[in-house]
Amino acid sequence: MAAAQEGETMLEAEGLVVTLGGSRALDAVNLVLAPGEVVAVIGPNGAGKSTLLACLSGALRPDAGTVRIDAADPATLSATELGRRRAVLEQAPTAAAPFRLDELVSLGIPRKVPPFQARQIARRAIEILGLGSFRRRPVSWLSGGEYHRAHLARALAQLWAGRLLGSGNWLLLDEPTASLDLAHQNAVIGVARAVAAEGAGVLTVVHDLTLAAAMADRVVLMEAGRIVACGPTRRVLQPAILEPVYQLPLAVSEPWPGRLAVTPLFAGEALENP
Amino acid sequence: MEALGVGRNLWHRGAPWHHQRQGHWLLLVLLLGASALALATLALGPVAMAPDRVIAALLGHGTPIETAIIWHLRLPRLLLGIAVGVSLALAGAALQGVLRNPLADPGLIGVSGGASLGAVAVIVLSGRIGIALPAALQSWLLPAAAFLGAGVVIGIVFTLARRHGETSVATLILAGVAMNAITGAAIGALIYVSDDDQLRDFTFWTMGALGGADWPLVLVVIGLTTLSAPVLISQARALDLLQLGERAAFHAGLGVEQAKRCTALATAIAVGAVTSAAGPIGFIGLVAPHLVRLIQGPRHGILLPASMLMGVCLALAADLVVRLVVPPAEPPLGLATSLVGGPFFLWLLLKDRGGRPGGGDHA
Repeated sequence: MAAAQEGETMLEAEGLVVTLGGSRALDAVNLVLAPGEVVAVIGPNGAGKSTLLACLSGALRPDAGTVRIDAADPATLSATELGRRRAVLEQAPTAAAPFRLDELVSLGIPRKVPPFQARQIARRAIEILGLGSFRRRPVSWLSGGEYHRAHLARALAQLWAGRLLGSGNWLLLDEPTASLDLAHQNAVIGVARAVAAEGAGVLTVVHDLTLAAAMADRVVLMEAGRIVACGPTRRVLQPAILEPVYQLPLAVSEPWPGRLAVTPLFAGEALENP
Repeated sequence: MEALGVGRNLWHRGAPWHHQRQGHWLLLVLLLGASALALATLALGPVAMAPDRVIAALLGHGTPIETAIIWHLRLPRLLLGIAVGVSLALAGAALQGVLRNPLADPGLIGVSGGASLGAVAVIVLSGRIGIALPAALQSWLLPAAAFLGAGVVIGIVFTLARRHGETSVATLILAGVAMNAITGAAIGALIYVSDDDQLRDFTFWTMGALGGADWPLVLVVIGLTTLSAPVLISQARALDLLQLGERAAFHAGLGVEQAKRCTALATAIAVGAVTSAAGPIGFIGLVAPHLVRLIQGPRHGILLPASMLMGVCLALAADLVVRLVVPPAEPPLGLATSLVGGPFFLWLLLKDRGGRPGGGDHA
């Protein structure tokens, strides 16, 4: 792993250790995210995926190890500067007030961005997520899936505003497709790919392995706070690597040329009553 | 605990289609309303005066009696009323924003109680110890003690309400109940050791009134209000972002701790100042932001200035009512605001049980 040069665009974690409530949430985790790539973080519940994301976003300071976001330690950056460099979609986004959709999406756009450009950015984010007809509707009126996409649009608008200000290189997503139907999962994959094509690096936590296969250039497999496998999508998404972690037989197939499907083979048996 | 959970949904009531342009009209209407009420405060009373006589008296051209009524009684009362409305409404809107709970009110979460305790302590203890402070210093000592009391309570409530980086609503309200109980007990203890004159003084003071303050104190209060109000209004974007939760607000680029400290400090100054002069006046901080939200929606850019003007309207209107209802007797202002605010609070709680049309609930 090359040391970060000054001015280098790279999101790096080195030797991350996080202890939460006495147990190791992260244990010696190394990760490098480059501009233009989509990296999916997969693993069972409690593997440390969200904790890793929190460290990378600067929200959580690791007990040991370093995070570098564009060669700077997040702890040394102001929240404003961090907000310019990276945007984050939380696992369960909420809004305690019934903002209109366009208001919600604009929340993360810094005041530095001129109003007409801010409106353009918000409009683009709303359109790309297929929410155009709800623009002036209170978000409390939206369905669960629409609401989730509204928050993704907010993160996207923040990222684009950051790019406008000469930064905005990283998009961190925590289960962006939870509660979305298949068509909208597909749309989110498209958004992540589009963001990467624009030159930003995308890190996304996902549970659906087929979705990870479609979305990501690289996959990071985590278990109990450690990275057990990391590499190009097809090299990690193999039964021999996945099955010990998920403790379930998995079928990996290519039913369509170039499209990988990872199917869990559930047994469908009742649990024995202890 | 059910009742404590409901508060979160109250935001989602009303104002389904709020438009930004409307905001300026609302501000204008509120400004006109506040001006009319201000004029009425000066003109009406046991001795009614025509508007031209009011202006003459203000400029010093009136009869000695008119000038005395305006300058010694009604003008300080008006200025204190404005400060009370501005400070309590802004403090209420800001606390509701930081705590993401529309039921937060300086009185309900114990901030006014803390301010009262500070002020009562100064009144009683300075009397007991027998230190005769210079009047100029006394007008600073009272707000300073009230600020300390309010600040300590805000600090405790914010700290108690913090769990895992988020502020829990139920904990907050319960903390408020506890703070009110503690400050109430401490005030009770102070009353117990006070003499008859002091007792009578703050029996009225604890019910809240605009008539009791003299010029030096009013000027200090106006000064502190002028200091804290712009700080609170400048937190509009921070309060908007905090609606996403503290973690998400940080992700969106907000220095959460700094914004909270700034809001807490300005709120303590505002509440401490007006409480030291007018006593604890309840519910303006609850009602004013709610009325604005019903009309204008949740954006703090409009909500804060509009709540401020709405608070002035409420405070002046309530004061006019208590002065004019059974003259020359003056029931305490705090009684009037609580009489209206209490049922309003209940209505907010009950209204929430009816369910909400359409959409999922994501709060």
